[in-house]
Amino acid sequence: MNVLFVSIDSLRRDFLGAYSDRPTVVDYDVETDNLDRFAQRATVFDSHYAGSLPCMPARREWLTGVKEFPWRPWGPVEPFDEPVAELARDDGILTQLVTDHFHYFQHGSHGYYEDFNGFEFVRGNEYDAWQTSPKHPPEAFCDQLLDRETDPTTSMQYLNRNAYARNANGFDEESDYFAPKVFSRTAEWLSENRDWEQWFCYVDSFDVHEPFDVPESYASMYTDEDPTDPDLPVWPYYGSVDEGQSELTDRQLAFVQSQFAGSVTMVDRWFGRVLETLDEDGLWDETMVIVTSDHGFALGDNGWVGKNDFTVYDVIAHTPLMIWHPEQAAGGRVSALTTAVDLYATMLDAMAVERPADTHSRSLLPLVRGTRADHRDAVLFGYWGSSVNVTDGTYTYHRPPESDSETLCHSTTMQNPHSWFTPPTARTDPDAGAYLPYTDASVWRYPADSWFQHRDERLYDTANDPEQTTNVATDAPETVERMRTLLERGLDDLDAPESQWPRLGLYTGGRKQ
Amino acid sequence: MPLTVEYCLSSCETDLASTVDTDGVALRERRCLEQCGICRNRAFVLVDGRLVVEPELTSTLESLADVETGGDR
Repeated sequence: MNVLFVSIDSLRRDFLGAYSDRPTVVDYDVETDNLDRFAQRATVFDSHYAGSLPCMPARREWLTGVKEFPWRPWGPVEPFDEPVAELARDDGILTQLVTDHFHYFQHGSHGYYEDFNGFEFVRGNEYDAWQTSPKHPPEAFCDQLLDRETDPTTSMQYLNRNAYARNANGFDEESDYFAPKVFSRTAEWLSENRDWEQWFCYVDSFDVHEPFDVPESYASMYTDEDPTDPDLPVWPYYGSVDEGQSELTDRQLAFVQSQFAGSVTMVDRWFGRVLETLDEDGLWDETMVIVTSDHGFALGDNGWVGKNDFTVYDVIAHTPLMIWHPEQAAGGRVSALTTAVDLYATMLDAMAVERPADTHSRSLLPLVRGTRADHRDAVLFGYWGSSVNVTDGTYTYHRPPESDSETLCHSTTMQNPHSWFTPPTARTDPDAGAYLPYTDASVWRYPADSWFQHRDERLYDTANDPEQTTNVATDAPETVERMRTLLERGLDDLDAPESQWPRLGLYTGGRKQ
Repeated sequence: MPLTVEYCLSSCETDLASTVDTDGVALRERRCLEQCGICRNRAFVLVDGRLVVEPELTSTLESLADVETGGDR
């Protein structure tokens, strides 16, 4: 069995016709005809949740089966990890990566592409350190992308948004943009590699991640604004829409929403090329196809834009998942609670590659084949160092760290736990030892400040309040207790670091509350 | 509207930022403000979205705190 694994970064499930008639935050329909067509064929998972967040932590879950956020932030594949691509190629399976995801090539996240027999990196998205000219990109375009004070054109600093302005300078045709390149190249690769007996192809589309820079007709598809108006941003800063660096007027927010929607439709149309190739080359009967996303993106939801800085609401954590398998029961919907790390075992099982023991992953194939209806009682999700969150599919419970607490970072590298993209900092304070429950390997261990997405304990009734507008923690103490028990059990099952308990205020005087 | 002062865990010492933790300032501690290039080289905060770095950083925060306390600190 071949595996085609497609990630569409930041894809909100409510922007897909398979999940919602209309997105929550806008008053228009968004065209996703091809993803909807795929959903008609596939098994659609209704209760699929992220695990470790955001981008690279999700990829470590998918590709190595490690639920990392109790131990480590954004970082590399570790020497003791066993990535899908490595296991597959060791089993004689051709492996290929097609991506425009620059994070694979930044500081702090090595090891993800190196195991593939082939990888194609479509250059230029986001901060990709690619083009260095023109020295002064077009001013109107820069005005939509960046703050001239923090991103001076002539600065050599890391993460200068002028990189994108230079990379995309001169884009003329739709086919110059990133999703068109990623998905058309994927379609070509599928056709070019028909002679291989078995393959694993991982397609990681950075779109619909910001910047939401899309060509016509998409730029005007969901707005009456002039999409080149320099007052209208296409790369919003993360944070509150009401204050500070991330503040947006209602007009600006509506424009950002429209460009996100346009990006979704652009991705959908070019994803259609892949579906056409699967049709034309008759690949469906020998290929499992997975379509998912690492997380969502707030577009004014609960007053926020972006991700990372606020409670991990369902708009971020409740992600789309659709799986086609030739031996699936009958397509349709799966209501069982599943999570990102489960894709690791699912892909290995589909390829008949032996799974390593003691991973955090549980194969979804029994759900796809219809031989099981249940999967997990609860799913933990979150960011290293901040709140730990849990869902049972009906409620979400969000437990912040204690004030002035620290979180331990475990890795064979000396990561920057809060500043992920800059050169690693040599540390003089770490311990070293075999601290991880899933490997005998030694790692560095060092503390860093916990950080806050919210300060209060939160409980949301997502069944009756899907937009999570009302924190019912005070009104439902019994449910809080039940969800906290699920959270504790989840940490226990993972054999999470003992330090997580006092960090989260789950111990009082050495005993569990 | 109070001024919004944003800093991240790597961009500014918490003790320094806390000097403006008064009723008239919305002080926001963040993990990261997406300004890692600046952050790597020098301390900074954002005051209503505007970049403030040393040598103005300390004096700006002190003057903001003074305004809120009437200089009686």
